[in-house]
Amino acid sequence: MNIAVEARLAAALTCGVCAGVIAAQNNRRVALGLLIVQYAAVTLLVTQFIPVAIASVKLAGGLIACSILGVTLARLPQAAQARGGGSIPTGRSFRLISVLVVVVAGWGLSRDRWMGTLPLEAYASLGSALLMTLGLLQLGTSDTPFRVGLGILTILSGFEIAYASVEPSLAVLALLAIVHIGISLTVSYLILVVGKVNADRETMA
Amino acid sequence: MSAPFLVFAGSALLTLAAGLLRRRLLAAAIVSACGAALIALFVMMAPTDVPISLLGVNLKLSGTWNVLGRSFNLVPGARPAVGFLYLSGAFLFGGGWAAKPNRYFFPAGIMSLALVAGSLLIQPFVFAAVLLEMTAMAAVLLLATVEYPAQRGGLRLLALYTLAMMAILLSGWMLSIAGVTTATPGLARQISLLLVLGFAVLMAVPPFHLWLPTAAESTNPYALSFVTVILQSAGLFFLLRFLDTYAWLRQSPGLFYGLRVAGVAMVGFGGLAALSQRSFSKLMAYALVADFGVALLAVGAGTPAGFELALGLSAVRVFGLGAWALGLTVIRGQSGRDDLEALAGAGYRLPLASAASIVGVLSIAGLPLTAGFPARWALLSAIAPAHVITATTVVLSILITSAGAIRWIGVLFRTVPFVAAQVPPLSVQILLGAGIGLCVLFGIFPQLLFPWVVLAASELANLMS
Repeated sequence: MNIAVEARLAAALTCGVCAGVIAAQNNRRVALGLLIVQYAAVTLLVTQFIPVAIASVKLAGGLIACSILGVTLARLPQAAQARGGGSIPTGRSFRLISVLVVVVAGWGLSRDRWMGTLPLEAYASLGSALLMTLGLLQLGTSDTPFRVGLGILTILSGFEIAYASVEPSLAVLALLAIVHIGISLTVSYLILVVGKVNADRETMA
Repeated sequence: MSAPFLVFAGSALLTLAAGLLRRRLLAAAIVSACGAALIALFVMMAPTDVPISLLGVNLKLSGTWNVLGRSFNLVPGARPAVGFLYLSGAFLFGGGWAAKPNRYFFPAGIMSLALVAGSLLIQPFVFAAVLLEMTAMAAVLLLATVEYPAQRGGLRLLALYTLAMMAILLSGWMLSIAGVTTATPGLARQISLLLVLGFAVLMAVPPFHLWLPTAAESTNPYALSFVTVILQSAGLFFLLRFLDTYAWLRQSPGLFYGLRVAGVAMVGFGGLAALSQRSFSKLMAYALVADFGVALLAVGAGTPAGFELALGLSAVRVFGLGAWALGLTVIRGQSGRDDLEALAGAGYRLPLASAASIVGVLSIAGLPLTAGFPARWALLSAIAPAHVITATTVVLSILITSAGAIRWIGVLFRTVPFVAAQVPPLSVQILLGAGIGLCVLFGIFPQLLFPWVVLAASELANLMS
């Protein structure tokens, strides 16, 4: 589908803003809301390469993944929900600066064709690079299942924009959508089952 | 009816049965072990694409199962690898009940086996990376449990396998579209970089080994052994399949040299780190890194004998890991921890369990008379004249890792005030004895095992020619 240049630019920038804010702030519910918006932007970028009906598989997979994480957050005790956090460097200014540095790096990377081989359109390349670099930042600066899970999902979303341009088949989309759902299920398991045991032990201690 | 479909359907049924029996560990272990062994036999022996008569009914099993434009092919080249994985699973499930794993160990374990089998059967085979990512997800369920609520190792595994999946998928696309040959060195270099990243994760090459010691620190040793055997074997099969399929990769001038350098680094790093550990589980984690390094050295030899020996090392690893894990689980069940202080004198309280855990580590280290030694000896014989540094590294790996294990013999048999321990049940003692026996048996009579390995390797026609 041919979508307007402005819409593609907006989608790429939305990807960057969402991933940047997720990495820079602590609130889990805000992060989850931004992840949903991020999936919508990724789907919009992907529609350049594949029909909307097939691209919607990606959005559906993302929404299911977000729902699983949302249900998990809702089942956490209030205290644990409020705690949020999970980033190793906790200073907000530090994280803000690191996000800005990574955004610049991502923008720089997106200007070159992927290793000189992928025929990626400029805005898709920008969205993809921003998501992958900011996802890596999130992954490197987090140590809790929720935030690591968000990091992995963000990197994967960035990769999928690039990969959809070369492998637009439904089978691959479905497999990768299953991977998104699987990651969110695994992360939910770690948060709920294992996290609860750790919390109980802390309470008893 | 197709054979791959039957393999997956059988695994699904087995997962269901093990799940229903999850509160009865012994029954779940028996069902899982027998079921996995049956599937292994089916995979290795089922005649495909020829008419057969079964109980008077004429059948023809297809070797291919098509799903959404992709196919799962039970081709001769994949049969030994899939069969080996199911047999390894059957072996570890058989003793699993004694290690008191989480109740989801058996269903999640069978699910992992089916996913790895899928990764070996799928065509185009670069999509195996996606199935390996799913295997990593199932592995997280095995590593982090209510009894061992450690998250970090599992999270690292998940993150690393996601990166590997992306690298392999991208390189797979480049391979299929860009038409790489030996005449396109620039493109080959770019793809090689991606492949190196992907396989470095799958083969736990430092620094991508980080999930292993972290998980070892706080996971049921038996679950860790299972996960390591499955993931590592799958990674090695995947690597060999890549080498077998792409001639330009085999003919890359620096490839085998690079593998040998990575192997030397892994052996040095793993061996020295194992020597300095204060936790018995982490000792094994680093001993495994050194062992994986020896397997890479074998592949890096670039000869048919080297490829066979890499597969052989994978096969004997199952016995060493099983014996170590069962022994340590019994000890840890009574001491609670596995550091130097907690295990001091455990050899007097639980002699059989201590012996099993030590023999297991020594087998992974490759000490003579244990299962890990014959493959190393054969590797030395095969490479010594041409690759002196590699051969020296193999010898050093045996010495350094064994020294680490021997240090722990001193800890286990340190004289401390005797505290009586609960003697394990007879059935557990039999399993421990069997674990020690198998490690020694395959150390003395490697000819019992290696013909199977040679048979498995013979299916990699291009590598073996």
